Amino acid sequence: MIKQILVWVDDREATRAQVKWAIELARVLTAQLYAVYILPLEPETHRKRKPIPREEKAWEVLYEVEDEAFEQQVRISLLIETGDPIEKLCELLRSYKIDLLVVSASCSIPAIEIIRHSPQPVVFIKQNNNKEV
Amino acid sequence: MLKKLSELLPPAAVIMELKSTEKNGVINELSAPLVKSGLIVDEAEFVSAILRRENLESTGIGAGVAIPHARTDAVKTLVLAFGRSEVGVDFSSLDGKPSHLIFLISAPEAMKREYIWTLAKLSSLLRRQEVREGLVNAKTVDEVYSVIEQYERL
Repeated sequence: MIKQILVWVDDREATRAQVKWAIELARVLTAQLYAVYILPLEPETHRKRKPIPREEKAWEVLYEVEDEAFEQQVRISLLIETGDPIEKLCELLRSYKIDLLVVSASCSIPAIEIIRHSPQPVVFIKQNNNKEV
Repeated sequence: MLKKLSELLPPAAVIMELKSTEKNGVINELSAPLVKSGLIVDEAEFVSAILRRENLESTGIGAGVAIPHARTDAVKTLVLAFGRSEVGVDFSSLDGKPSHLIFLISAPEAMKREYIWTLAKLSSLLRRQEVREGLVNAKTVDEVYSVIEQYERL
């Protein structure tokens, strides 16, 4: 039974398809949705500056996703992580006991790498909403 | 024109020590000055809109921070309220910790862009440890504004 779904989002338009798909699946299954945005590691000197626009953009994307989920009455939690995407996704899958990972087919990492490392099933969503597993 | 966070926060809506220790009470307490100032036109609907969100989302973003929020026409314009709680309040944060810094954000339905932008800006700001420490240590309402203005980027 799929009760917890993690969707990986970024600020590219292509991610919208997997967000819509994940929200719809969570709605149908009455599952808890987690949306994560993973920021790249910044050099220490950058982190000491005033708020990083990239992080604001990340929150904007996440709150857009949250708004969409709310419209569909889907329970959602937002997460921001910093670091290597595969490492972070795997950590989250384990720590939140996620049942399914939803990723854009055009994400920044080769699909085979995600499949190889993920402890849980992964669904890749193309921009036209066709599904690849 | 997008406003600065400090411009969206009326001084009367800064509560240096919240009396309530549970979520619903805190939301009511933070709403009260906005009702008094006429920014909230329908208090019951406003609180209900915030609680509807709370039932579906964890607005506790971790590190002792919660940002309850909602878009509703029960509020006249985009507005913030801020309260501190020494004991902490359970906002179902993913890190399991109580929230000590609570920002309430609301906007009319038509102000979605400004609302999302403000949420994003505030969340980003509050992820910074020095901002959280500044707000925890602020002794006056003016010091709260100073902290926000110091780190705010337009």
